[in-house]
Amino acid sequence: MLAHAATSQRVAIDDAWDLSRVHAEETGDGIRLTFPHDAIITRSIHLPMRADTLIVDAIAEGSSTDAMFLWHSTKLPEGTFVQLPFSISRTGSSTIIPLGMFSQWDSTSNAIGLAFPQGSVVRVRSVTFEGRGFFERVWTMARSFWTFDEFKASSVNFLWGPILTLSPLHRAHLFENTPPIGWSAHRILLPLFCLSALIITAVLLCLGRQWKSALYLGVGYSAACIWLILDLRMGIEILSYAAHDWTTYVRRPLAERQLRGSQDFYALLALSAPHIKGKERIGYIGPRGVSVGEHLTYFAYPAQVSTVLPPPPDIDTWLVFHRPDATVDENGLFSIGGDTALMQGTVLTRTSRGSFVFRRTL
Amino acid sequence: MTPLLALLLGFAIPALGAGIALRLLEGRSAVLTVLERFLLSLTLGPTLGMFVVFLVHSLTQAPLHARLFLEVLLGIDLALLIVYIMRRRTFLPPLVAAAPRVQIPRAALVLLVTLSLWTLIKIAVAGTTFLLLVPTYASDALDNWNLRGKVFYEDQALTLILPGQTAEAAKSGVSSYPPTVPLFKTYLATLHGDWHEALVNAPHAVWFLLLLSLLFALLLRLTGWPFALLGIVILVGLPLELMHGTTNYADVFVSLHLLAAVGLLLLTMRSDKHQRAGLLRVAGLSAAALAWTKNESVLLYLPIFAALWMLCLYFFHVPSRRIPLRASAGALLLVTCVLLPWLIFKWSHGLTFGNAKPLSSLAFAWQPGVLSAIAINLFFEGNWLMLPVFFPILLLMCHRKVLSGTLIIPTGFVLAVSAGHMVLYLFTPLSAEALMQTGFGRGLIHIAPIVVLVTTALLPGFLREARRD
Repeated sequence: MLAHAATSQRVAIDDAWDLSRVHAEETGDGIRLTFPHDAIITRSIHLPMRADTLIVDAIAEGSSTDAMFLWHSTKLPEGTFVQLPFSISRTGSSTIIPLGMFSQWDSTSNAIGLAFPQGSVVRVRSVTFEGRGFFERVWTMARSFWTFDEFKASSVNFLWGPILTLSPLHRAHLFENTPPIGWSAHRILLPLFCLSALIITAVLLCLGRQWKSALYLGVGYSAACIWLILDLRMGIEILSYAAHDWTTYVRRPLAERQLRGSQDFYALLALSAPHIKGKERIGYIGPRGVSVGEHLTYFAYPAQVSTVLPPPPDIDTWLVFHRPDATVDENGLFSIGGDTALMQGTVLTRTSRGSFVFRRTL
Repeated sequence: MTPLLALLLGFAIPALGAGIALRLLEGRSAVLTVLERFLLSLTLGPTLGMFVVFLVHSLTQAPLHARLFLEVLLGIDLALLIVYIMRRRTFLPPLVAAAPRVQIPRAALVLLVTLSLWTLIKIAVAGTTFLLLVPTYASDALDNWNLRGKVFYEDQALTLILPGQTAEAAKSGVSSYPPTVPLFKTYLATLHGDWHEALVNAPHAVWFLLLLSLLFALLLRLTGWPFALLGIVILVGLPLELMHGTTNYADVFVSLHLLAAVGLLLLTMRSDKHQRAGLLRVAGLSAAALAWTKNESVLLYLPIFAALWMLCLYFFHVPSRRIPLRASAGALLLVTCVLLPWLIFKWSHGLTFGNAKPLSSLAFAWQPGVLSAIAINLFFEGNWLMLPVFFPILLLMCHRKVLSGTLIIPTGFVLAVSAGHMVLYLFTPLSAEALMQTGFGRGLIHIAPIVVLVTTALLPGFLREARRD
């Protein structure tokens, strides 16, 4: 669930924009902009509030498009724009730009622009500025401190730790970017440690304590407090990894298990285990452009994994993973993409439409 | 045999031999506490036991199944037991000093107990879930530690060319690492009779618990039980340490052996002259086991450890250097007995050194961007809480105690290793390990327990200064 912004201003793509260098076409679902050359569309603007987030609701037709958001701050000379790169995807999901994270952003800017490279075709529904009041921003920052990441393959190498952001929209997708767009909370905790150590030391000196004792107490109390807060924060995050594993894997039936973003891969492996045992070679058909991977190599061993098609004559057991185009008809004929049947046999077990174990009749 | 029984016997059999060997090395008077000897047996026994199995298998090509493992390990146990029985009559009363008695205020006790319970919850929940209830997930386990163990188990041999590898690629890949951890997994699987995921991953939980217990035992001698418990709380509190302790990577395994070796050297220098020789010999056995953990141990940790050893002998003005020199010669012999066969094996099979990258290919030049990557890892991520800030401050505020006492040994080790890491990351293509935030953090895992040992050992003095008025 995304939190609602305190205030927002929606900016439609209309006559207020300078569209002279692009081809604009009204569709039922936004304005289709075609860019025969590298071009910028600009307009003047006056934001009634302090904006910290820009949401560009647009779809790139064809492939994803790199674009630029530009703004002219009133503090800069005329004609000088600051530019910020972003991407528009072909899937239609909105691009959220956390303007508040950039020191150059100025809510009093009087002109904005969007720049696209030659050949881009984008359908823009809206451009919306959002802003939050002071207390909402502080509350969002506090909540983002307690927003946890998930157990990833990189978690044994490093952990992002508490990340701060001002935007509720951004907090909802905090760890989906690499690196997360936000500040490390340590940027606040480190100065806080120094400040609190100084304050405690000063207070104790005023109370007549010896300087060395006061300093040691100041440093000790500050360090201990910050350590306890961070230990609690990171400890709960790691426990949340375990809780997630329990709900998505441990407590699920075998065929429904999912492990850390691998979807039903581990469920397929578990169900295929009795059918792989004792085999010298097995076949694997997986997503296009994705190699077999260390997971299957490890779990299948000593069976060697082959991805060769047409199927070699000595392989009778095939793992198919995330191939909705792989089908087995009522006669047991296995084909991919509706092409000529590759082999004939039976489906031994299945975890989803495109993931199953196939036993070929040799 | 059930997985649990295989795990218990798997550790117990080599630990028995190690326990006897440790008692014999201590000399006529025991210089280790029962707890220390128990923990070191469980640490060194499996490691050195796997070394002997490796030797026997390499020389005889006997297949790696339960019979070979049991014959070798039980044979070692029996031989050592015979020597122990023959020497037992010469043993004198133990020379172990009692742990310092510490009184702590009630409020501090309540806080300590609360933190300890929190620590226990974290270890139990994360360790059980990540190691025992979900399948192997981490990359290095899938293509190194677990994969090699499974290949050894299925092939019943020390196969160097892994699935999907060419012979040439295998020489500079993960097969260049000592096979200790994979071989131990193979051993457990042979005892159980099948490759069982939870069984082969469980040793990582045992090694983590051993690491915490050994840290406790060392701090018990230095500071008493409250601070020893606090040391465990601090170490488990480090998020990346907890992640490594509860996943099937081998870096905690290395850190356990490092802590054993450096900790024993520290105890040696804190002991009186009657205990010194025995502790030195035990430290030598730990150093020998360290050589059999990872390539970094041979290339970086052992040389620094050896340099510290020699500095200790020189600076501590031992009235009679004869005993420590003899014990040092014995330690060198033990290390050589492990290192030499392993180096011969690597040379004869064309295996390289380096962290799965051959060292010979490393050019020496400044690597841009590494300093900021390291700063981000240390100060602006969630890996170490704020220990990289607090530790230098603590060293500075307690510098007199560090420089004038025996804590200079583990502190010097940490600083030397850190300097070594920095040189590698700042001046060689290993900088990718820092830039990509991969191997850098894992290198710090190796020395984190020693950092916590020093931190905790300095705390009593710090608190005394704080309370002085």
